[in-house]
Amino acid sequence: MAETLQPLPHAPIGMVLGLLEHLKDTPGGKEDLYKLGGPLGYELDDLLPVTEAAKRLGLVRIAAGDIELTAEGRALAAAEEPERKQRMGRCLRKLSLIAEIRRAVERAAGGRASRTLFLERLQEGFSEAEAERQLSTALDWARYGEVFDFDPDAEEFFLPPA
Amino acid sequence: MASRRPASYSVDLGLIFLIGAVVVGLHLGRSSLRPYDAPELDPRPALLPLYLLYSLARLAVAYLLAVGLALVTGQLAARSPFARRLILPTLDVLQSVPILGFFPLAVGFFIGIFHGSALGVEMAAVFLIFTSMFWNLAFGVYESLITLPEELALAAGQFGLRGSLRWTRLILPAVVPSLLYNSLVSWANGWYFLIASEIIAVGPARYTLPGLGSYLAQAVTVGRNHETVLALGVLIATTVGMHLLLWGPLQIWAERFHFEESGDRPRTPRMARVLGRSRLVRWLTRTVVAPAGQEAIAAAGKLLGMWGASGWWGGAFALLLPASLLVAVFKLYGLFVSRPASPELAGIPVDLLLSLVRVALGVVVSAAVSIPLAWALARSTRVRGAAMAVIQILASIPATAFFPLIVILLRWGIGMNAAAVLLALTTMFWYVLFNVAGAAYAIPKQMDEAALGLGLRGRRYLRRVFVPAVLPSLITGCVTAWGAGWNAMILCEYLEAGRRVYQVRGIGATLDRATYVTGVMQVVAASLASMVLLIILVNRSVWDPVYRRVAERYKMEA
Amino acid sequence: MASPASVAAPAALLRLEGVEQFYGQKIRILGPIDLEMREAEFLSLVGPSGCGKSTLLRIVAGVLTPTVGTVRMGGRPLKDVNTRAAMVFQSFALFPWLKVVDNVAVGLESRGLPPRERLKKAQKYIDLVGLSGYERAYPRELSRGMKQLVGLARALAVEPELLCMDEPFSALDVLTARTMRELVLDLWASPVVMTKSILLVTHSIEEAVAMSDRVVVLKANPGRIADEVDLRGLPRPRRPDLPQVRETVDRMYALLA
Repeated sequence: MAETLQPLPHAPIGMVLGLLEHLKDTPGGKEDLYKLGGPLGYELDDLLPVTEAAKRLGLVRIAAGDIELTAEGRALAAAEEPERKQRMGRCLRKLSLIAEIRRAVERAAGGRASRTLFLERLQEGFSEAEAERQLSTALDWARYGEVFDFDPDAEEFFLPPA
Repeated sequence: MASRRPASYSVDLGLIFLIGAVVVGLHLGRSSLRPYDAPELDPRPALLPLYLLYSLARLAVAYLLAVGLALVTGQLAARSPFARRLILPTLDVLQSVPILGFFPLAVGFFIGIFHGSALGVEMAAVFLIFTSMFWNLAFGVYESLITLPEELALAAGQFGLRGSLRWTRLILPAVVPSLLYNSLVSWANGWYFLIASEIIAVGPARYTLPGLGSYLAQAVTVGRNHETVLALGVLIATTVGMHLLLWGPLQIWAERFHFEESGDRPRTPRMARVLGRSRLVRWLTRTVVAPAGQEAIAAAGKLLGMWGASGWWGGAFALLLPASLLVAVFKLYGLFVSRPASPELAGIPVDLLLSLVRVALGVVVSAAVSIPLAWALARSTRVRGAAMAVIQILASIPATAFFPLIVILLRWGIGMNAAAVLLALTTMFWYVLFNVAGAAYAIPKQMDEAALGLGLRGRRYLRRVFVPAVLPSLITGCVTAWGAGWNAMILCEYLEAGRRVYQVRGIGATLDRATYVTGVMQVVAASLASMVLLIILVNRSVWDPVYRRVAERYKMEA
Repeated sequence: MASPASVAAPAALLRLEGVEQFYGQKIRILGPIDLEMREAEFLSLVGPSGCGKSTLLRIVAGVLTPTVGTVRMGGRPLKDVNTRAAMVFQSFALFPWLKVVDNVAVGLESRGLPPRERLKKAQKYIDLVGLSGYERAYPRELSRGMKQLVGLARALAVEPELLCMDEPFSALDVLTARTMRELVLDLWASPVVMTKSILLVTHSIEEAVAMSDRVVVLKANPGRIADEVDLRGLPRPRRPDLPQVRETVDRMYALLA
């Protein structure tokens, strides 16, 4: 698993959505990357993970200093809830870590999968702190797309009720 | 809405009825109970588990009472400026009173009312343990509540949280971290003073309860070393067990009650984090401790909510503490006015001075040794987690347990003066080390790296970086050690070991002789009063200003 | 033929009469303030720091009792907490030890709703603000924008007549704040949400102009009303680049100077 795992960029899903909203209002859904920084008050540290996350989800295309919405990105930005969540859920399931966790809860008896197991497997490729962060980010995204949820008392991932 | 719900009147009536029933019961009961009569403890080691159980029961009852009252008191002080002005100074004074100061009350009230019967003695013991547990819990609750984020309290009010709902959703969760932290301290105190609580003596009257503390004291007094070691072993095993099975899981559960922006709030101790990796501990937390904790909060909330429903009980309670202090002062005065002054009184100032020197020496030595030791501990990542818990456990060991060792040292000729200081150090040292080590762990890695880059090593590093960084915690530790040192003097300046008495001139010795041997109340009262006054004086004139200045200059910015 | 009299003027939801706030005995922080707010109105209070706008909001919400003066809600004087209003706080003020769903349900719990109904209602408003999926998360797991969404859902869940917001977006980054402003306006217009009166405290004139029907400008030392601007003529949506909007903002800056 470790070798197919690309680390998730640590950006809150809310900021990714905010990025899409912003691009939706620009002509052609396109913007110079540098313009995202200053005027919007974002630091590079905050901005790069967000654009990277949007790219990994297939919602934007980045080329020659420009960032542009893809067709899927355009559709998602235009959608209202709950359609937006459903679309995002589909995009999320293409990411390996999130897909793996989802498969695990789907297959497990009782629909629950232990977080510690995933943590240990991630620690084969990442440091302990980074493994924790990866799971937190995955959870944040997955909750939005209602792909899976987390029970802190039992430390288990589970399928959210439909 | 401002109107009172009908339920609160029934609470009033219920409480009045309850108090009435207790008073009547006491009155009827006292005549039928036989006087307590068991001076010598059965020393068979096989009985140790039973004695342990007795001691644990007393500790647990005292602890629950202390927590309950601390919640009520702390919340009252936080909520009402009027109550605060009455309660805080009283707590401040009473917490400086050594446990022996409460003996007369314990004997006179509890034992007296029950005519010296077993029930009365047990209640007296529980009361004494309570006095070693209560003060810091109450302060902790108070501080947690006044540092509650303003907008959170406002939100609670705006969304209508009142009565038991306010307790379960706001107040109790907010105080859990501080309550837990202080509970560890209180239990350490409780173990430490178990001996003093299970052997209650005022003058000729001597009451010994069956328990681990009295067992240990008897073994030391009589000189049976292998029983001493056994009792000590049981004590340590119990405290370790409690850390693993109770405190550790509780600390893990309590993580969710921490506010995010906390700077000085006690964070999850490293020990709990290390324990948290054990599956057993996590299972325990999940299945036992967490649900029990939630239930406890719900139950406590209901109870406390009912209490709060009646307005004037709070005011009455707030007056009770300072009133009892005033009564004590009056009795004190009465002791001296009506009778001729005892000749021993003249020696008290010198006694006090000598003890002061010893306590001060203890503080200085503790500080001097803690700094390099804490530095060494902080550098070794492997030892880190266990170190704090070990320190806490060692702090619970009563000085009495070291008596046999001290006797050996005395035979080698170190002199009772040094012996008393050494004994006191066995208590004082851990408080300082605990605080300094905690601060040492908290030094941001970046600061260390910067120092390294600037070429600050060894002594220069200590002086320029380490000491300033830990200074506020060092002061806190020293203040605690200072208070503990005085209590220690009571145990250390006059000791019975191997059927011999070893003593050195000092206020602790004077107090012990007056309490356990001669029974002259004037001397007891005068030594206590002078000790308490000195402690408060030094706290106000030395420690408070020093701490303020140090905290300003050396506070770590987040 | 409809007579003018048959078109009833909207009732006054909130009235502040001679409200003053003192610090101690002598120092006047605020007042005297006389203010009226109609039903279904979006009113903003704007002013520099120290003008007492947050204090005023707390007085309206009933968590602070004014030293002098009366607050009337629907004609009746306020005695204690205003149960017909709900607040959203600048620092979110979420209970760290409660999950999102329990935070949102807090106001419903104190109103005595049984657990199943509480959950249903809380879920409704969690979905409405777009937080579905995060019901079982703890506040510390959420970004700042999401935390404020919880605060918003919590306030809306008690279905207040008046929503009081104390600089709700000032702790958020620009994009998130923008998204949230739009959300609030959408909810205000939505038939699903009962709350139609909103009182917003802000230090941003642009924000006030973007959202309100009416803006009350406050001056400091002591806090009192300097001016009132009626914005009902300004068409929505009020995009910041529209010339009319920019003009209004300029005018208001001039007022304060």
